[in-house]
Parts: sequence; C-alpha cells; structure tokens
Amino acid sequence: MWTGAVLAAQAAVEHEQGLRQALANQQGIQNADPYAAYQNAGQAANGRLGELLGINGNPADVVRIDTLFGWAMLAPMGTFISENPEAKAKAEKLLLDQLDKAQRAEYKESQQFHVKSCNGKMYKITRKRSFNVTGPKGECYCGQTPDTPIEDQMLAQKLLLEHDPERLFKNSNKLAANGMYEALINAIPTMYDEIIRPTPEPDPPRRFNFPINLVPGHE
Amino acid sequence: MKKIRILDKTGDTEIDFDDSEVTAEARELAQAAFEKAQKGGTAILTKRAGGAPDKVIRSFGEIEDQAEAIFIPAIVAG
Repeated sequence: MWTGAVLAAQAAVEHEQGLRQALANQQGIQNADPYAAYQNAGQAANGRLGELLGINGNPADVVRIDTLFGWAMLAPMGTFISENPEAKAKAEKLLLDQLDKAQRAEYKESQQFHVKSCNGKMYKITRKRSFNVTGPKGECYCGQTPDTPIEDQMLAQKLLLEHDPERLFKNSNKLAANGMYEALINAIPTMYDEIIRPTPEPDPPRRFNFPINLVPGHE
Repeated sequence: MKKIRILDKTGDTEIDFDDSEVTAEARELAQAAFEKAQKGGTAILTKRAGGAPDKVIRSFGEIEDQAEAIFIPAIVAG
C-alpha cells in the first residue's frame, strides 16, 4: 500500500514539474504556442504517471489521468482569444478607471496590483492569464474569463475579491504555496482506490459449530 | 442616465439607458444582458452617486442613475 502511495506522490511531483516548465515556457516565449507546450508536458507527465502506475497502453486510464489534469488543456485557451490590441487597450482603460490611485500606480510600475478582499485578506493580481491571483499565504488561484482580454479578467477578479470572493474561489483551481495542485493532492487517495488498490483478501471460510448432541449418530 | 458595461472579447460593450421611451430598445438590450449575466456571472454596481460603495446587484431594477454596472461573465477554472 505505502509503495503505491509513494509512487503516486512521486508521479504527481513529476507531473507538477512538467507543468511548471510549460508555464515558464509560456511566460518566457511570447509568441510560442503555449497550448502545445502544455500538451507536451502533460503527455510526458501522463506517460510517466502511467508507467509508474503500470497502466500504460490502456486508453481509458489515460483519459482518466487527463481528466485530473484537464485544466492544463483549458488554461491557455484564453491566450489565443483576446489578442485584439484595440480590445486590450479598451479593457486596460476600463481597468485603470476602476483602480484606486495606489493600485493604478502599482499596475503602471509592475503590471500587478494588490486588492483587499471583503474577507479582510490581501491578494495580488498579476497581468497574466493563468494562476494570476496570489493569496496571503502564497497560494495561487486560476479563475479565468477566457473570452475577454486579460485586463478584463483582472478587473473581474478585483471586483469579485472585493464583493463576492467565494464566487471566484469556488470556480478557480488552486495551487498551494508548496507548489502542488490542491486538486491533485485531493485526487491521490482516489487514484489509489481506483488504480492501485490491492486485491482484497478472501473472506475466511464459514464455520458452524453445532452442539454435539444434535449431530445424528451421537448421543 | 444608467450605464452598463458587459465584459467581452471587445473589451466591454457599453449600453446607456434610462426610463424614457427613447431608450426603450437599449433598456431591453441591457435587461437581456443582465439576465444572461445572472446565469453564472455577476453584476456589480460601481461609481455610485455620492461615493457610495460598490455593491453586487441581483435585480435589474437596482441599477442606479449615474452609476455603472459591470457585468462579469462566469469565472472558469483554468
């Protein structure tokens, strides 16, 4: 049992590293194809995960693993929409109009700003599509408006943090401060149950102990 | 005059309206957009008169004169 859990954890870490690399590639190379980067990293990590779990070659299992990391396919989709410069300029104008003086100065200097949520905590919103909301403990949230420019997404996140943060959080993926995907950590026990559960031991044979005086032939 | 801004792929779509007949068509459009925004999205009233704080609105009638209602589409986990 513990061997299985360790292997699953190891696979999860390797998957995490692959996706982090993909994210780094996306941020570092402006005109690269981030979707392909995600796909490549995801496939490589899935392959390794499958190898560790001994399920290579079974398409159904691969689909199940892909479901766990489905966000990796969805995350970059918004990058391809909303690149219209006019739309971005309009969205940025609206964002700046809605920021207060300090937030506007921070945004102009570093393309990010801090927001105090109605839950009393401070969050940082950065000008990028994925995992761009950072919480007070370093955790990151990825809740997108994929059909709008990034600047609109930042405005939406700001307004929701200020007025309805739960709506943002419940629809976001969360990356814990230690760099692990919370959904993945939560999925490990399920993966164990579904994929590497040991064969259950057979039931012990039933034994009936009749009183000796009820057995025929015995007095 | 009341104003709504719908966040979309163009940046935002702005609709101005009031209670007069002249803006009846715009008002209908705004109401339809509001109902759409309520399905998974959020509408927040900003720039309210007298510096009143922003607030989430749940009904179309809550949109105030001189204020801007921003319609946020549904948030999708990325």
